[in-house]
Amino acid sequence: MTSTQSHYLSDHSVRSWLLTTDHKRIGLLYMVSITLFFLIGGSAATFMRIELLHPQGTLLTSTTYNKLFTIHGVVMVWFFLIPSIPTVLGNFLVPMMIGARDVAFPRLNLASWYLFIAGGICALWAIVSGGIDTGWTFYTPYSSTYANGHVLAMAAGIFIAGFSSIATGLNFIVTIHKMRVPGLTWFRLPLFIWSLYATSIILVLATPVLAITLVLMSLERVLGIGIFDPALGGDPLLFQHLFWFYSHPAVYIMILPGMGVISEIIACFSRKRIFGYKFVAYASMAIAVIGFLVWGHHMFVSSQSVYAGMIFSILSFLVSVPSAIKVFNWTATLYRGSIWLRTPLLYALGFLGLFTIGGLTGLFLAALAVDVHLTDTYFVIAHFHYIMVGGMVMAYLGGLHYWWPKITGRMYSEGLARFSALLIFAGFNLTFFPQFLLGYLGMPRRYHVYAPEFQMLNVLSTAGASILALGYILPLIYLLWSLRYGAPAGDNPWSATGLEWKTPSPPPTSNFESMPVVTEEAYAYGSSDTTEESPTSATYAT
Amino acid sequence: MPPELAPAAPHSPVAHQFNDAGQQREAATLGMWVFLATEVLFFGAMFLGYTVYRVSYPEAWVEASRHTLVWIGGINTGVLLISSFIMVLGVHAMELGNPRTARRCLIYTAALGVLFLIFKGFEYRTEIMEGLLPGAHFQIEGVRRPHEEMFFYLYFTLTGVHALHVLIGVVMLGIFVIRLRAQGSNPPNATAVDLLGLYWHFVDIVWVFLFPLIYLVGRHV
Repeated sequence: MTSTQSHYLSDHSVRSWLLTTDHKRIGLLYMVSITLFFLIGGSAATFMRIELLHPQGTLLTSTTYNKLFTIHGVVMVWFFLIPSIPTVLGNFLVPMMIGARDVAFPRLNLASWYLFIAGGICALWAIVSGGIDTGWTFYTPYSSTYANGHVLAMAAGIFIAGFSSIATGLNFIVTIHKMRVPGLTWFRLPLFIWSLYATSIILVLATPVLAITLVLMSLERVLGIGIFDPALGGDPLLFQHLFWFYSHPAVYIMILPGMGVISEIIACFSRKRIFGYKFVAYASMAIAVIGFLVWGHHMFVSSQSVYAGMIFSILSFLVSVPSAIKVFNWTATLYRGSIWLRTPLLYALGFLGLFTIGGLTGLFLAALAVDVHLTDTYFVIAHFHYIMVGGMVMAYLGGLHYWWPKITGRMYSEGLARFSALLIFAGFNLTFFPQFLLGYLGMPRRYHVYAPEFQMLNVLSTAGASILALGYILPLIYLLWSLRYGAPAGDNPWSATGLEWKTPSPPPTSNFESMPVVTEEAYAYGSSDTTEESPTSATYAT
Repeated sequence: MPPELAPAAPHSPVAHQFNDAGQQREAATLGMWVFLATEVLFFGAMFLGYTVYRVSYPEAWVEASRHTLVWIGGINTGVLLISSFIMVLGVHAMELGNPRTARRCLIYTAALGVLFLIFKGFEYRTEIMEGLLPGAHFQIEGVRRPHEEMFFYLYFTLTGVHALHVLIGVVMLGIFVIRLRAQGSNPPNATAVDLLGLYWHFVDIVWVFLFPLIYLVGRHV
């Protein structure tokens, strides 16, 4: 067909990018933006790791160190992890996977990117004009009364970016409900859609609570009075309840989309339907629901009632069940599958191992007595980095490598990609496994001066971080390189199922040349009409 | 629900991402409901703060509530309820294909919204002059009482955020009135007016909760 020559990337003008309402282009706008924020948050982490090489903390002052970990936390959570998979891969893929021409509200989608950028500029301004040292949690009364620095600008940035999250979540919910092509019933949907649906519910219901909480905190800072103010009989702990009512579900905003990506990759590269499809789909919803009820496990030592602590502890154990179901089902999918060990699957396997460690150590922390020992130590840091970085970032990179041929129409260098996947896995473990040990031995988080006996493990961690950094920089180089020099990918380089592979790469502006119709379940690998397309021995030989 | 009261709306071109007007209408309606769910949680955090401290300081809540101007609050409740009723008439007129009547209803609705804001402003002014604005000069009958101050802090934030929503609603109503008059290329259709109505009712319902929580605490005693 002649029309395949022009696609969604054909128009190169700046105006066509800044005014686009095409969900695919908005996904790419987000990709560029969050990559920049990742580099900012990563640089902050780099300085911290260098500082921690030496127990006396000689390079930086304590204030600077406090500002660095605040920047790292705020930027990585709100400006990289939360938007990462939903706004980049989600924006690109949700309409394509359900056979729609765009999301339900394309202009709102573009507005969400502008809100994100506006919030990001506020945050960057807060950073360059002096930074803040509250930590990413903004606990009162420190944030509302005592902290110096640009707390208001930072809170405003997060507040504004929050509305971009809400807009994205609202768009996905409506799109998934109302814009599926004929034949695409709920239980034929790819699991990536299920996981983004669950994520969107959290985005829509949790984010407004953070927004108003930050407003109340800021009002208290400006006016000198507020509901968290003990002078009026207020309770600073109420801030923590409200904050974690958002921020614990936000942890699931930061992992559910990753789980969706892993489901797609594992099904494709083991050439099998996902084992227990419905269980995986329902598990996403269960995580979204139970995830709203466990926030108190961040407050076990905060003087919250011990009975509340016990209930939150039980619920926290409960929320691990659906995650475990997913891990078991992915493993069962791999079992006796036709494994095709390409880069995306390497990331998915890495995810499986690291997420399992992160999840199990989460159970240690959910146990009340153990948590008293481990609270505010490096054990907590290691635990959530195994979920956030070992889980979500691995999934994001895996998804990027999986759909890169579809997004750009080009293949990247498989050898380099595998090499950097291995670098990341090795570097990650060397960085964060020592932190489990440090935390168990009692090294507190958020200090840059520490007892000399911890130096060995800190040096190991910093060494790992440098390997990890190299592993992150490599994909940036070879993916950009592939844009110009990569081999043309073809419509479906992985012989994957799913509507997004049934259209040219890169896709035309309207996604499909004619409206597709779905007649079979998701992941129909090995059924009659896909066996013909499955990879030839030549492709396997790579 | 009656199947389709309005004739196929001649002015509403279907946006390119939708297959037909029905899909577009359903998407827009669901979108508004999801937005309202967000709004509920937005107000929810403040209502939680109210509940926590009301349970902690019941006497202070009764005392502080006596200093609110219940007659203004009562009139304002009536104003908003009537405005919601007129909004419903407007939505109904649009469904019957009668944009002129609908436009008149939206004007009255907006006017009542403005009236609400005027009363609210008068109420704020009286309270501030009485020294009920939280801060260094807060006093109830000459005494600085922290728990009552907390009540008034919550009162000002809750009603302030609510008034902001009323203001946004009035502005939206004004935009719709202008667009309905212009009869230009793309005037709002029945769905759009219906969704604006949903928003207006939501703002009304929030007030229906606020009124007893603020003005009627302990009035029966």
